[in-house]
Amino acid sequence: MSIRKLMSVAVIAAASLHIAGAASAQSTLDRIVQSRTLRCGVMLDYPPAGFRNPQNQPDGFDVAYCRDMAHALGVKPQIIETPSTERLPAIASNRIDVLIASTSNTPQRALTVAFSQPYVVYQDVVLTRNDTAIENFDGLKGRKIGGVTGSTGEQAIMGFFRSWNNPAGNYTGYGSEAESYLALSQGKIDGMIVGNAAAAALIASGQFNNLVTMGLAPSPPDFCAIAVRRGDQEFLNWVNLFIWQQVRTGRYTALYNQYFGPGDAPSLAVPGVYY
Amino acid sequence: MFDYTFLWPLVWAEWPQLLAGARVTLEITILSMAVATVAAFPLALARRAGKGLSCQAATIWVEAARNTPCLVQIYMVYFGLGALGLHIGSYFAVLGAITFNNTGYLAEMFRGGLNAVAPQQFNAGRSLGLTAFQTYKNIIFPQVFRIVYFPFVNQITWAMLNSSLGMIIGLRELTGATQMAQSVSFRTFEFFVVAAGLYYAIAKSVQILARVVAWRAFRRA
Repeated sequence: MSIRKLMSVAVIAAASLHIAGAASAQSTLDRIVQSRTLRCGVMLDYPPAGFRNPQNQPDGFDVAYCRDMAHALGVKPQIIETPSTERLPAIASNRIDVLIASTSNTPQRALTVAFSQPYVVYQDVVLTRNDTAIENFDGLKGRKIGGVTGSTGEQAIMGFFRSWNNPAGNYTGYGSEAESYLALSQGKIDGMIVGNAAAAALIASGQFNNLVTMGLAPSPPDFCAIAVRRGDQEFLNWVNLFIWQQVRTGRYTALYNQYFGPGDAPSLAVPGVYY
Repeated sequence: MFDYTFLWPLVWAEWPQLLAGARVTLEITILSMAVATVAAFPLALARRAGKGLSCQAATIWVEAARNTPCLVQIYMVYFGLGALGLHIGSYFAVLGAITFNNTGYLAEMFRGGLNAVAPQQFNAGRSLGLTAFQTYKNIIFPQVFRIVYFPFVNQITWAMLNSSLGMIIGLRELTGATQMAQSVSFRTFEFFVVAAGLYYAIAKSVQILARVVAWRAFRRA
């Protein structure tokens, strides 16, 4: 294809995108109600927030939140499996209406999507093997550590790793949770940090009987938010109200107890500041 | 309904990381092709012999390398050997698996190249008083080289694209670096477009270089 031909194709493509954009002025909230379907993006490889139960049906805290949200809107929920890397493309290309996928709400990511107020919070814990003699977070210094490439857990531990500046240690980032757990179990790495809920679900699953958790990581609490398209302020207002209602009605605590464990659900507020 | 603004400055801020990843990709490609080329010749000759233990071993290698996905081969080297207590780092596991894969394909390519040269040429060379080694070196291999040259260049591209699977077992090559960078700012489209551009640039450079080499090497004919 000649350069000129390529240019004209690009111009036509750009123009058609522009027309499509202009025609899409209808609000997401109206569209959901009119189509009677709420399309939720959920990660189904992240138990207990999102997984498939023995009947192969989507289940988990995030899935329950999606069903509650659809119920509140008076529409049918449609769970769309959205792996970590596909989260943004799924929103931007309008394949999903809302992303409920334990997404950490960083300012950098908020350049691309609009985040609600936090709806769940995790605390990182140290996950290691029972024969590594690692007893707490400081035990990871100078050891072979690992994580999942592109996760916020990775970003958190890389910060510590760089500040230790210990040449004996090294870091390996794996493609997904499954590979990182297998690598830890086989001894390719000696430790990693994982969200407390994910670690508890992993150990309860009995898949790897040599993995144990060893105390909290000093990383700040991992607040996660629901995401919508960046310009969708109207729907975002509604989502924020929904999250507030979930807490106010006790549904947040009930689902927390069902999927993450007994006790009080952690506060979604940070002391000393409004969201 | 695609109202998305492409923000390129966020990508250029991560450019050094992407380049570092591209470097690892290129390294794996070149090293795996170099080792595989050396390893594939004995395999091709063994399979041409058509019988004996070495022929059977070569056939098993070629069958396994060509008929299983490269991802499975990478998993086998990294986690399969790991389960037996033999731990290889991500870099050498990917290098080993891709070399294994390349060797299988190249061996068949070389065998085809050798078969394409009429066997009478070998006899003719010998009857002119050349040794077997001289016949291969001066008569057979120059022709084989010309026959397998372009499929070989194809295989370089294939090896480079396969190296992207290394990201799964913790190799920070171009795809791994892209994955990491895009998760920070969620600029998935921009980062994947740039990564695709880098892959294209590497592949195209290899092909152009190969054309130049071919022109210089073959034009005497």
